[in-house]
Amino acid sequence: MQLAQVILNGLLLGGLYAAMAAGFSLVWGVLNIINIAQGSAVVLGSYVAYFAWRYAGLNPLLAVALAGPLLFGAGWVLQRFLIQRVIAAPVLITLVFTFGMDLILNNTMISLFTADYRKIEGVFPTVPLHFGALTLPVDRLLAAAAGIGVAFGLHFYLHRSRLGRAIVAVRMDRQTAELMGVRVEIIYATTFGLGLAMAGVAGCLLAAIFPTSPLNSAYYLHIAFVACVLGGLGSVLGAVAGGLLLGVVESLGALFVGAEYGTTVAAVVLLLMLFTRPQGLLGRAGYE
Amino acid sequence: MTAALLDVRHVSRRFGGLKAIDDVSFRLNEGEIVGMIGSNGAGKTTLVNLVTGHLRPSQGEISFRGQRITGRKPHELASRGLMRTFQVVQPFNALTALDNVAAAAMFAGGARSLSGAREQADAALSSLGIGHCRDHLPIRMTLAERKRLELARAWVAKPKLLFLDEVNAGLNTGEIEGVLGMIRKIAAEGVAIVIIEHLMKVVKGLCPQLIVLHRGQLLASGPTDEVARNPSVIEAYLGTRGAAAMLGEVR
Amino acid sequence: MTSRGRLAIAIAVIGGLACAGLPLILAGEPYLMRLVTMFSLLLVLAASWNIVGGFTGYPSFATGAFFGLGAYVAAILQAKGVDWRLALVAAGLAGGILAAPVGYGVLRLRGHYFAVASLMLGTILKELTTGWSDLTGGGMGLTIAGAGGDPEVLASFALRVSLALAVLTVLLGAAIKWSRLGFGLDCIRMNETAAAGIGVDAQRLKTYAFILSSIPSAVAGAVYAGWIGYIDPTDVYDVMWSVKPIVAVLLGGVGTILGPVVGAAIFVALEEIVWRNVLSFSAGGLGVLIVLLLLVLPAGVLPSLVSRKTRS
Repeated sequence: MQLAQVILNGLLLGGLYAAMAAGFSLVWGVLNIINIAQGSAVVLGSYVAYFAWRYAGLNPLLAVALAGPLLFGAGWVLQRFLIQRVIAAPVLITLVFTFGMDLILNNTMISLFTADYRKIEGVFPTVPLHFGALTLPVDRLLAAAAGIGVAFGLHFYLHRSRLGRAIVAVRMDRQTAELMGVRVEIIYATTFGLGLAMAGVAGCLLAAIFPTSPLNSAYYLHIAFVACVLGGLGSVLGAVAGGLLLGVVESLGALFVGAEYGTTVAAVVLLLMLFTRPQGLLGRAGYE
Repeated sequence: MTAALLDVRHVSRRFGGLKAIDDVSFRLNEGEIVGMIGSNGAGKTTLVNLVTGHLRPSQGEISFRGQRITGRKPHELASRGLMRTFQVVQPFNALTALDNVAAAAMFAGGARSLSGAREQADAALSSLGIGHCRDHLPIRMTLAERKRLELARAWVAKPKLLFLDEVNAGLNTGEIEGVLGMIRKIAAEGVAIVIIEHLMKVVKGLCPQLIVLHRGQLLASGPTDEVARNPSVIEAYLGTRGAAAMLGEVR
Repeated sequence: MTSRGRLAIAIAVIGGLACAGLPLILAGEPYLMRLVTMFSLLLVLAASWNIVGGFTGYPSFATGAFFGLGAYVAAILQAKGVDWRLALVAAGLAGGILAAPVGYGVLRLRGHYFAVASLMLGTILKELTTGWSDLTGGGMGLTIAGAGGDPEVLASFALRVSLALAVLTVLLGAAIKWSRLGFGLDCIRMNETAAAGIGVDAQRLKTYAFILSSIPSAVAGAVYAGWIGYIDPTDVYDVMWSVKPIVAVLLGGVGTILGPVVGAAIFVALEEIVWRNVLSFSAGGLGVLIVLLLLVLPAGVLPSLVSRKTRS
């Protein structure tokens, strides 16, 4: 029974990871860029939720409507005017570039907000739900559901809307999409905006449960990457699957190995996946 | 029966649900020149990748010079004398033509020193008619020159067997004639050569033997005239206009 | 004599003179001694990163992992009374021994996958080091007993050792670049498929490069530990130890022999001039430098980085 509870906890955690990984995966798949600043963008989303709660009493789950558009705009501008200029450079250059962006964003947040952990409190009922012997904390349930919901929303947006389909077209074949009249730079900017918006949304959901600090950003980046590779690159549903799997792996790892070795356990699972099934759970092999 | 230079036995390769190569067997003898033809997607390049170690067969065995080489890595096969060129030329872009070839002389050809490797490379470049390019970067060479560069790179490795994957693709008639001359020169040293081609016109003058692939299967193999008269070969090719014309040139 | 021979001799002579002369010239100048020591350690990391990142074209973020490992191996051994010279050798050995299996595995990955896998190595070592507190002191860190003497003697000593290590690492880079190994790494960087096609055992050569790159990084960590006298996991496994060398090499010239020297010098100078005044924003300042560098000199900084990533 304890095992069932641990797996349930993992799935609840995984719902949040899914939201974190979805945007990261989208950007990687479409732009062939790993956005190292994704973790800091998540933290920024958490701060939006935190301050909206602190000064306006806003529920962090509703702060999504604030953080999403805000980070979308920031991401659009960053991609259109900065990242676009190095986008064709080798992996090393784009990696170091987004690393530089991460250093700026993270250090700015430390300067403005300090590295102290800040926690939103008193919004959700503290008495958990019970299903038989299983315990379900309300805040975690809501946040995980929202995380998966938003990821599915992104998936349907990509496959149903005009702009979303243009993004998918660019991912599959940039040159043909270009010939069909798709403006690739705009698509890239929109994609990067969506990626950061997802980070912001994930940040709000995390802020509902966990304390916020810029020190978390490296961990969030790691989560996004591992979930994304586990699930399969460039597929939003893959990121959801990878996020849920990673949540469960981490929970089981904490039970059997110890919570302090979370990254190591996840890394071992990741490496096993990379060597045996490089395309991930749901993805296709392709981009490097 | 003497041991074949290359012996491919019941080799298959699947990609997901697709059988790109389906139970293909053939043998090659030392010094033989063989044409391998087939339409796009027939599995020619996949078969070359399987034999040269760039892909692993899903099933089947491959032997080279009497030794089992199934699953061996490309670099190891190259050092043992099994070389290939690529359909799309693959030069080292920041190395001069000379060093492109010297690298092959060093790693596959067993040259001891860089100066020794460069001497061999220089001789190969001159002998293949691109001596004037020795200090050029590949980007400054014409496609025909780069094709010859690939030939030179394969040649200095002192291969026993050389796969030439569409070495004439993109060349005009005059250039093709030139490259064919180079191939004859290499063959004259006793190197067995497999020429992967679209154009029957190219292989018929050069290759006494022919292998025909169709949808991943070996459709026919044997002396060129016989294969070209084979009804199943003709039938398989009649579907496509270009192929019909291509066979017409032989008949 | 060839130009290569002359360059190697020049590096050795100038480096030797620097090793012998600088500690004397800088005696009584603790600030400058610290600066040159920092420069030398950064140069070691930059020149060793260059072997994998520059010569081989694999964007490694594992430098910090080996740096931290070396620091801990040396600190633990010295705490147990082992001589510092032996501790440095052991640190280098530990780096190489870890790099062999890790490199053999991780170098199968390419591009982003390789980069992030190499980045995770440091995180993993940090977790393991923190967790194994009986040996490492965990998050509390370790104090190196041997460093208790006269600070001026220690500073001069650290300066000499790190300078010598830097010269050796630059010479190692030159030796690799001009060897058969370097020729093979060149081919791998430009076109790994074609390299395999001409008989280059890419997996083996890449692993050699990874090992040779990890050893000086680990020794640098050991020197750092002895110099600072106190280490903890967040300090020596800081990802900055992986990023700063890359930025230095980007500044000086990727894949060149003297690039790391020039780059490390520019980097340390910038760090001192600019960031001394804005200490609380030093990481952000590095970020600004990176972004500007790559925007202003997108092609200029990587003349020899040929391997373009493929975009379909």
